[in-house]
Amino acid sequence: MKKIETTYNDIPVTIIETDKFKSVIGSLYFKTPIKKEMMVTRKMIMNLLLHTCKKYPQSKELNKKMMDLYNPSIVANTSREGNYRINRFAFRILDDKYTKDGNMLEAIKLFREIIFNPNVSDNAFDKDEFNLEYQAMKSEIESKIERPKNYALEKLDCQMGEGTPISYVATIEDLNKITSESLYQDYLKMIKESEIELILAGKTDNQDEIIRTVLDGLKTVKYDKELIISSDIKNEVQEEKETYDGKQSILTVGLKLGDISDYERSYVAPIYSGVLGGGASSRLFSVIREKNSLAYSCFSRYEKDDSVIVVSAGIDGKNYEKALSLIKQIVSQMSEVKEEEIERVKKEITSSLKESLDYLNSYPNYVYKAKLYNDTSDIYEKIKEVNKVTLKDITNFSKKVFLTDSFLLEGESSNENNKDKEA
Amino acid sequence: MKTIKIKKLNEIIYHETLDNGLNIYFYKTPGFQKKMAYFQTKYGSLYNDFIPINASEMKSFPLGIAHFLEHKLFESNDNESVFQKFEKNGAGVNAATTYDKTYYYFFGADHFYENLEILINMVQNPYFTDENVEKEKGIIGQELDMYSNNPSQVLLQKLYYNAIVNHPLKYDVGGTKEEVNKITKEDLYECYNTFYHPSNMILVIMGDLDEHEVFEFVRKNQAEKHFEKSKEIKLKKYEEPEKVVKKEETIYHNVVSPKIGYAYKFILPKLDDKKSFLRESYIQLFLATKFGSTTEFTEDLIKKKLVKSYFYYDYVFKDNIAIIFFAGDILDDEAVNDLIEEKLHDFSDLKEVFELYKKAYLSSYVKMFEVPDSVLNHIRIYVNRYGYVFDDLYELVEGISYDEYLKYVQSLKFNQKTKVTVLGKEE
Repeated sequence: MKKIETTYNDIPVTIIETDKFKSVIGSLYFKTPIKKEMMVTRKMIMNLLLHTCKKYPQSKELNKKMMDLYNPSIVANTSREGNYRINRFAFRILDDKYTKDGNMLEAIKLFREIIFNPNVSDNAFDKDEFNLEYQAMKSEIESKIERPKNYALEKLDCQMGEGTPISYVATIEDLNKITSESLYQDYLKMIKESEIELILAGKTDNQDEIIRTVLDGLKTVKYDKELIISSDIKNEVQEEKETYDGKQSILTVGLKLGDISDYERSYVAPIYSGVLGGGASSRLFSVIREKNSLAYSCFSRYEKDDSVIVVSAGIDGKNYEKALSLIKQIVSQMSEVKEEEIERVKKEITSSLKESLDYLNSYPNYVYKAKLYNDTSDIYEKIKEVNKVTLKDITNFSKKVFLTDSFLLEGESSNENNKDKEA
Repeated sequence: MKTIKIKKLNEIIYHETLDNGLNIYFYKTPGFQKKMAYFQTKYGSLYNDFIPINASEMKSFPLGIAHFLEHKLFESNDNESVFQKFEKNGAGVNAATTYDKTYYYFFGADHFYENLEILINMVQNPYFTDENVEKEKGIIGQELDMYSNNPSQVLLQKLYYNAIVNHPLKYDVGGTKEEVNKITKEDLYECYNTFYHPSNMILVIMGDLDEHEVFEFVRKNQAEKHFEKSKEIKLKKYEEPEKVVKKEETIYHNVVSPKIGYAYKFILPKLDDKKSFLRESYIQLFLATKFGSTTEFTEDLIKKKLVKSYFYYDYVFKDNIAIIFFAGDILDDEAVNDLIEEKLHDFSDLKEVFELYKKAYLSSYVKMFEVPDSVLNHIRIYVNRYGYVFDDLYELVEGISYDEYLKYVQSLKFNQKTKVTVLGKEE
């Protein structure tokens, strides 16, 4: 696998040459400093673009065209990475030898049509299309509680990240400020005022033509705003609760990271989180699930750009106090970690880094995320660094981890039990 | 060791049946880092009534026992948990139970043979005690609560429950808390001894590995173990009537806006493998051309305010039963119902998109071979369902005739239907 860095019109382009695959994949990224309303707008823009375009103003016509081109996958996603909003558009297209001559370039042209020639009239997105998307977004926001796990994690984010982009979530208020005109203006902004980057992976003889087709006429800007968010650390643990009509209760717990070094952020923190709640040998899993049968799932997740680690467990509400106090205890004991625990996590990280080379989607994303940190090391260099982390590094790091928040989404079974107890 | 050559694509899958009946499939992946193995038994929640091996009477087991057994095979009688053993090698491990199979798998870049040995030995060395069986009931209770928290899943489950009279497709794979609480270690051993004989299992492996070494390793591992001679497994036969149990029902859950689902039930005649594959493809194709992305069925429903924001369809085929269902946050039940019925009986505009769907299907089949995990899934699903891997799937799909397809879909009778409405909790 060979990695080549180049530019086109000042836009950085990374080419990953490999003949392991039958397709060529391209990922085009748009990065902008985040604003709260983008939690709604950038997602709506993404969905609208994928649904129709000027040339195929009806989704059924666009989808028929795609099938006629042997169904290339044209996908998009949007996410917050620290202080930035990233919109990614990607294609995965079979080499012409599996389809027909010229098919790939034609599919890439369609990719361009979809992103740069949207279904717009009078400086606004098509009204019918906009209304459909508005409805979908409205319903998604209103029915968040139907996905209790995500809801509880989102509430924890709002609580612990107050005043920072960590707390940014999609709201009806933001949605109701949007019109098809304003959304189109935001789309133009995304195209004109983003830091753009292209990553291409696969094997093809006509790379230059593909790059030109994708990037022609685009201009990039450069942002120097800090990527990483570090929020204030309170002295007391803030414990919040909310009830809902579901059966299972979801307990989420937030840990904030204090003043940590770049090395700790990249290499020590993932190992710490892995020992704490990554996989079935982790401390959370073995204590909460295996020893105490309190939960089916219990894990921790490290959010590198946000300087936080979050813990989630699906429990019976009546076990709330017990589960929370066990989690607090487990976190407080993280200063004493065993060699075999960190060895286990190092091996897991090593394995998953190597495996990321096997997927047409994951490796370009890995390269892009590393570049966000100006990190140009390859996977094997990274593996070496991971394996240098010592017990002492973890002990020192554990002193900079603070359990600051908990949020319980309380289901009904605990209420029933309370009633029983009263009776 | 035999080779299965996937025609048209120059792909090869190695296959061997061992003396004890175990079938091994190996897909070689030059240049790939990831190695993976699935150990799968043809046993899931549908096989709940059977004559246990070495017994003579038909016996019914508590619902959810196949899934319970899956959890319990992770138990070992030494101090180190199976999870720890895999994770020490940097590998991930998991398992799942479906209607007709249970599978255990690991994946990792390194220590392949060590991991393979742990996987095989874990599944072939059950260790159930009264204590570890009791402990699992709490964990599974939480898992069942997690699923019952999801209104869409509850809706779907209720549709099956009300559509089916006798067949165990009626029940959720995980069972219910009440049934799960009845499970004993003796029940688990009876199920295990019946369904986990090597002759009822397959091992599906991928990696940049030497095929001879892979097979030799498994042969040796199996030769060191003793298995009784394989016997035929006698499953209960279910007489499933064409009629649904209940035409409609309303249930209450934590939904923000009401959801409605419709399920159509079909009892199908038995067909041979390829014909049954084609029949399923016809139905898949028909639903896609009527309700899929080349139509604007959902968009129209939303524009007409008959549906709030989403609508979808899906289908399931098990034994001789097919269920086709539709669901969404439907606002006008009667109007949506009429529109679905109208589409299901309209065969006028099928030809235009027929070839397009074939093209899309074929390219997705080719793409599957650049994601080796998907190839493994394909192998284990086809072997479980048909007993072997199709080497001519490409040609089979390419050769689907429009006339045959049309004739089949026109013969479908959409007259057995059940409806479930999910409303917010009653105050």
